[in-house]
Amino acid sequence: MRNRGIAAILAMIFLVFFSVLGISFCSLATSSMHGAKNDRDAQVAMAAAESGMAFIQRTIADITMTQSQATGQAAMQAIYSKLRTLDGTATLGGQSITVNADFTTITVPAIALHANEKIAQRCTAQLTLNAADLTADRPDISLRVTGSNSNNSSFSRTLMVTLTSRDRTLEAFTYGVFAKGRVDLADGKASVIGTPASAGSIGSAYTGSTAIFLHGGDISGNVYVSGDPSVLFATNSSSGSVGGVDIHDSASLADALTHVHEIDPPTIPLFNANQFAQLDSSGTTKLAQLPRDAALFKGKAYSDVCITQDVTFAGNDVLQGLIYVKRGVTVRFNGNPTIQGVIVVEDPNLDANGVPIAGSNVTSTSTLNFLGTPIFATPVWPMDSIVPLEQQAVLADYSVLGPSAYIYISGNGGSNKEYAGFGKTVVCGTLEEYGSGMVKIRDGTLITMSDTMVTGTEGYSGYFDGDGVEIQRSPGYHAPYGGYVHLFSWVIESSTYREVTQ
Amino acid sequence: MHIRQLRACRGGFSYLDVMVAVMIIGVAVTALVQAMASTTKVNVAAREASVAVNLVRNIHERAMSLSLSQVDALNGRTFTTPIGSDGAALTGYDGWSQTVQVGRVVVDATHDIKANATGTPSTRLRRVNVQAVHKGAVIYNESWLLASTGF
Repeated sequence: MRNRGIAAILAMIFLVFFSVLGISFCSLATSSMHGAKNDRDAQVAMAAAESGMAFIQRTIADITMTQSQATGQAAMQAIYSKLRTLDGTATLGGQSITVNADFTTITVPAIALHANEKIAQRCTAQLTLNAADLTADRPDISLRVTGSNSNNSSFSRTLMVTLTSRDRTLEAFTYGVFAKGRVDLADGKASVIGTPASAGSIGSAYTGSTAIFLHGGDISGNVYVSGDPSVLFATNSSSGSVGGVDIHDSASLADALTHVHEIDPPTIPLFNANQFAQLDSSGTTKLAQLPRDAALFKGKAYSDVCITQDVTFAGNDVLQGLIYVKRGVTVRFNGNPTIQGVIVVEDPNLDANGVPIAGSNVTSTSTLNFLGTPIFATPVWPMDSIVPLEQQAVLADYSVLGPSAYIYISGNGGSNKEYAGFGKTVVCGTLEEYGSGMVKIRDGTLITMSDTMVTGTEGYSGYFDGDGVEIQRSPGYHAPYGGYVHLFSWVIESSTYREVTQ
Repeated sequence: MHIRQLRACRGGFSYLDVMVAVMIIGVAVTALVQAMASTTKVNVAAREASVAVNLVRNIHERAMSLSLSQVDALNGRTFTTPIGSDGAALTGYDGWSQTVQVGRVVVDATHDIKANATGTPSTRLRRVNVQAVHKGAVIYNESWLLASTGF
């Protein structure tokens, strides 16, 4: 009788045991699930912080400054001005960017990173400058971004980086041909050929229709347009090629079009020709004045001259050193003269601006006509005492630096089909090319800066009705460093990227 | 007498004892089995969630090492064999896939961020969305902004 009821007790013990076991299982499962959820929320918060950092970085990167503008306070003011365009927008939930009195701290309120989606990420940001750096040139700026999952505000992640100023890379110099406006390879033979292949690429910043028009020639590199390629690139021929892919029919055209890429709006170089205006020596006695009758000087050599009257040079003439052409003067090179030095032409379209041209034939102050078959290599520099060294360094990177000049090239390239051979980069406003030969550029880029419709070029800033352009770059080629205004922005210094644990 | 007493002592459990005990243990075991099943299910879901987060993170880290044009090229890609952050295919993830969508973020005049925006002008800012899918079900979906490092 004493053992009666033991089964119930045992059962209760088992019941408790199983209950504990069951609760443990549930607890374990809940913990596991919570762990996964926490992991997910932390990941979302981190993504929010990284997204905010990318957004701030991108917004700030659009700010360009020159050296003279680059004190710490000026930089913070520029950044503040840029960011406050977000004030009142849905992005900031109607709030505003704030800055403290001495411009050392800019505070960005909650940014709704994906306001239109179920993913509710937000981030706040703060840019900080040390007070001691307010007057410093191009100082570093701290950026701190805290991201959170709006559905679970207990999770947040904070990232910090240092923003440092960095020169902007200008894509224009990477292409074989870069046009601010439209390019028309109008003749069936008109081509852009490059060595290496990338030097045979064309880029255009034009955003209207048909930025680049191919009529049957070859483009050995890729085509880069700033918008929809189907709108900005056109061909009207069943021949030619792009990126080495021949165009025979619609199928091959589709293959060729894979070499037509859309790019973000490129930064247009701002060429600085003003610095050469000081080379005008017409008011001094240092440089010889050419007489009005240039025929008297045929077959002779001229050195360091300032041309103040219209003049025509013939094929045997040699010009050396600095040749400065005053505004409004027409200088014509017929035949094959030799030019060893720099021709600086004042541009009649720009007051008090000098347009330096190295290794070129010139027919007027506003137009450069290449009517013979001159071939120029890297310019010769016998004018050390005349041209400051820093300007010589600039000129050494260019064959033509005339951002508003109109260049007309026509002639017969002869057996090697080459005329108007340039040793370095050619910068002009508009270029028009006719004849049987290719414009050849070694170690450089052809850049046309006109973005307006020019009647003489059928509305294109680059118009090729001859054989086109060939660019041959040596392995050691580097883009020009001088001659244009260097711009820089504040970008993330990746080595300073860190998560803040507080 | 002694034997009869012993027989009485060994009378064992009554049917009622046994039935009650079996019933209690039965209920407990049933509950435990259900708890185990539920736990297993939750654990599987938790494991799937962890795997999904890691698979998305792989794409995230992968994207950070690519140029913007390379990221653009990921648009519409589905990796039926999931890839790691180095781009190499991963083994042991049968039934899993990673789906990538890349959209432009157009910062317009008001600088609102437009999700899935297309058209011009474009910026060097992209919105990347990655889904980790297991046997047809989206387990985790993450979206983030990516900026080019250059200009």
